[in-house]
Amino acid sequence: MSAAPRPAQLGVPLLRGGSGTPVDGRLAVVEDEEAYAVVIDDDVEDWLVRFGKDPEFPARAWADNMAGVLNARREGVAP
Amino acid sequence: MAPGEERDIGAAEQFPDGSRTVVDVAGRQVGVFNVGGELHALPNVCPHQTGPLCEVARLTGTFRQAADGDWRKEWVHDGEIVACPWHGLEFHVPTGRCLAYPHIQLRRYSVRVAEGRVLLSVGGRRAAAAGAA
Repeated sequence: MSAAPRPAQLGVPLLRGGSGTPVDGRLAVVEDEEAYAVVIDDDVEDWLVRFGKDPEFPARAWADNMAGVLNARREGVAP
Repeated sequence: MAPGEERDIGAAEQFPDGSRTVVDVAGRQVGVFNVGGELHALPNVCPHQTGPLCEVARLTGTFRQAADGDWRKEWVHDGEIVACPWHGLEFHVPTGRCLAYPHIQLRRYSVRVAEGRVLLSVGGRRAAAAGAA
């Protein structure tokens, strides 16, 4: 048995399933030349996912859906 | 990213080859994968319906079938694919790219080993504030 500290002992809780909402913050969609990005708390440096712009791909709809669903989950309301 | 913004998430031996771990850093969950000795870190949220993308029993591979392979089924990326446990949307862990929709790119967080410790950087104001706290 290793005596090395586990992440939880370092103040970084180790989660394995059933962990609730994955982001503690409100998501927003920001646009640049190439993509729509879903970011945390309007911080463009703190993006989670980029949806690349392409006429064949509804990037804006994907981004809006992701942000809307997770914000609704956090707030406990139906999206 | 400044070294001060890196978070120590554990000893390297706690992330052995093939391991999948979810840690909570600066207000978001991050999945840390060891694929063939290389660490990769992705958000634990699926872009589809925000399922817990990284909370999977194992990484898998996927079938490729294309004209340049004479339409033969080919098993590729073995041990490199994560499939969301909610609806099965697949992502290539080393690149963060969605297989079904290549326009979808997951954030790839910086993760490295230094002096036997695994250091994770997520960037942004939240991480900076947490580092200053």
